[in-house]
Amino acid sequence: MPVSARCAVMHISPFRAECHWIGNLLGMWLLSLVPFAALLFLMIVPKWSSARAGAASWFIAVIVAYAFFGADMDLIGLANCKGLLLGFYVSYLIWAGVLLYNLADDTGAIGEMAAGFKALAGDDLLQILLVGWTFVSFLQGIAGFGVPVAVVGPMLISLGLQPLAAASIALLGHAWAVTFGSMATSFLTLVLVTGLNPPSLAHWSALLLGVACVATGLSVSYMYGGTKAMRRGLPVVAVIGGAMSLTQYLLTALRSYVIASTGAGLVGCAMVGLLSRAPHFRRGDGPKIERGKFFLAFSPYLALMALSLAVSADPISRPLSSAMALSLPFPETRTSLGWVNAAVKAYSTISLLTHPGTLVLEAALIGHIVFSRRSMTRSGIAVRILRKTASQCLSPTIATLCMVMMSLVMNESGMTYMLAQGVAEGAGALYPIISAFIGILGCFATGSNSGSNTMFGTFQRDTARLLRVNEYVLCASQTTGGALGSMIAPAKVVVGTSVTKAAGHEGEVIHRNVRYCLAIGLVSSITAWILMLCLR
Amino acid sequence: MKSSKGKGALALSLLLIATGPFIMYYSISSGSTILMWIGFAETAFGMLLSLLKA
Repeated sequence: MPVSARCAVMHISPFRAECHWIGNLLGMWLLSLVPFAALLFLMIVPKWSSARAGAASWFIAVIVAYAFFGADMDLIGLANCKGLLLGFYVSYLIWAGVLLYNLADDTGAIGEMAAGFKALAGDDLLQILLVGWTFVSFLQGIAGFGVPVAVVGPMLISLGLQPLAAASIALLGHAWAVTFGSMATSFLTLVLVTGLNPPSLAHWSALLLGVACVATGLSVSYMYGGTKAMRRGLPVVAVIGGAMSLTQYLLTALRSYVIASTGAGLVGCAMVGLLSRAPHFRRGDGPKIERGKFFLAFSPYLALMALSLAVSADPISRPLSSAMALSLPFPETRTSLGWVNAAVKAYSTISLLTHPGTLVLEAALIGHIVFSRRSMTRSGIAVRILRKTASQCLSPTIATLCMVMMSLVMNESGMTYMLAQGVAEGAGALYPIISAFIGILGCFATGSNSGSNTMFGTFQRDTARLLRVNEYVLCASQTTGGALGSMIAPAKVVVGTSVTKAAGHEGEVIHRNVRYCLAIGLVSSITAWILMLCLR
Repeated sequence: MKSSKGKGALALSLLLIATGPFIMYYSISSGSTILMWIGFAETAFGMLLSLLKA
């Protein structure tokens, strides 16, 4: 019987039908798990660097895709080329972020910023919450695409954190703000792929992300100082988290999706400033903030914020985005099992003038001019920091390319979809409880919340219709999971480790963050499940 | 810190990984099977270098 006929009888996709025909669906599911499992195992257990583990997983993914999922050489070649384009997008930001950090480090600006933050919020826990939770969320609102992690990682080191802890906290603290961050691109992507009504979807998404906001604040406190810090931070996290969640909810209710995370982050920063004056957190008179020195040290980052805001404005972004845009067209590909990747006219368009990496480079240039005028630079600074940046970025760039290319081979051969579908079938009626984990899986595979929503948005909507549960809540759970996945997505972890001088230790950062990611994902999923039960 | 030899190997690995897929991409539009295999071998060799030296 031809595949299409069997599909009509079974009411399933040709891809699934072929997998059934091969005989062992569980076996196929396990095979699709192998590359991810190998990547995590190699990074966490023998502590291989991500470049090494990524290369090994790439070989596994190519062999499994070719031998078991019916991918031909054309599909594998095009998948690798797509991965290369996505990898370039991330790598450019890594190089720019590390360059900016090296400039700030070489001129002593990092030390000045640390002194400023210490004076602004006298209490050590409040300092960490200010930088690693509220400020990073604000940055996620205006910039995103890894910029918040690249900026905040070094600042956390300047506050006295170890490199691994700094990278982990920066990744953890910004995750809840990703869906409505970077001008709400992830949320709008979900709206586009599912066709759901934006206000209703925003309503449920903001509710679930609000829960995640408080949970990430508590996790940051716990990661900083264990149970003691979490207990001490509980009231402040509850108040600030509540205020940030409410702000985000109100802004989405007003349909101001693009500024929802920015507004929430700003309110959070203001709340930390207010709470630091409370007797509970006051530590004597403490050092006074030297505004001139602080703002001077902060100037490249202020320039970055201004540039990010400027290019987000439609009249500026539209002409800039279309100028100097790099992209490639891709033809349709299909596996012999029936998995189809549609043709794309312009895949992963990189607008060189509005790319976050370009904005960071421009900010670094402005910073260099400002620092030079104030005689903060030493002779030969340009050569020194360029050499240092090249040396630091080589390994993270290889790691990024290997992992993104592996993910694309998996996506384009249908392995990632098979993985998600297997999880959904295994869970059955309990699927809503694990729905956020599909979002996490998507983000882990693609490195972004938008990528996760593109990959699994319609899958979640259709599963909701099949199970007769609320599709809005399930899709909200999807994007919440996609946002939370940012704290363990290798492409983002590499950004965090490369700017905190912890390159090669990506496995340890993922190992640290994965338990928080899964715990908050479970809380979000259970909340979604309860909401669905209430709405039945 | 990696030795200069190690860094050279990593730089070569990056070069191979970053150019191999483009060769595969253009082999599809030109219909050349040989070019496809050259691109794949280049990418795979770059990955192998990364696996051994990173």
